[in-house]
Amino acid sequence: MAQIQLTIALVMIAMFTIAVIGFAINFGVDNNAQMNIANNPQLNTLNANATTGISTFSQTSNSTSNSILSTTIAAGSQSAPSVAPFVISITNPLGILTPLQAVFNAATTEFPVLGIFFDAIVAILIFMLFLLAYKTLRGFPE
Amino acid sequence: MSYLYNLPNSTSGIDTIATQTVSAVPAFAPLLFLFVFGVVFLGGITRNKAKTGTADYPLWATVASLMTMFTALILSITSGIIQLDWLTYIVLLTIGCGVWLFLNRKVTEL
Repeated sequence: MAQIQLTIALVMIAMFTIAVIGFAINFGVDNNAQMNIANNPQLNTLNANATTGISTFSQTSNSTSNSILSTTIAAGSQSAPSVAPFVISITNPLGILTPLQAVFNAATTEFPVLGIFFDAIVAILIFMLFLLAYKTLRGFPE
Repeated sequence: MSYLYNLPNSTSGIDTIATQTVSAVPAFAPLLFLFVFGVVFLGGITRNKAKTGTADYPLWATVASLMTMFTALILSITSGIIQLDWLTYIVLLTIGCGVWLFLNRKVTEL
């Protein structure tokens, strides 16, 4: 994925997570629900992680935009002397992707047999990764 | 006449019928959520494929999981219909479908 696409996807994931959890918690509060996910510490941690990710992104995107504005290109040069202003603004993508970890944890806690499926998927991905790396070097196998 | 399940007390309101149905068949609520998710998801991708030739699976999974979450939230007002665990799983399913959706988008769409 491209940098712009990945950054936007991570930010949208974080905002979607905050919106869903916030809506569910406030629905329970407004309607005096007997079951409220605010009582689940795992989802509260997930909400806090996403909120921290968005807060960090808002600060780093501000400093990144300032550095882009102050970028100078020397006369005769065709590019900026450094790509530092254009580095990704999400400083903690794994922190924003904790929904995936939470989903896996919940699924494997309630249904332990699902763990073997996740292990198999990860093993296949690693297998494909090494095959692609070897194919890039040697040109085979297909 | 002998019944397979004990009939719910229908003179105490519809919430009593629901809670007594769940107490007789504990899998009622999860299967209801599976039904809601399946109707929206399968119906959506079927019509999408019929109209355009391709189906946007992550989009319809997200829409279906949102509809399932709304149903679960409504049923969470009264105790005895769904458990907190299932409500948590459905919220996590919604977030997981959102992750799938946003990582699946192309550059030109959001």
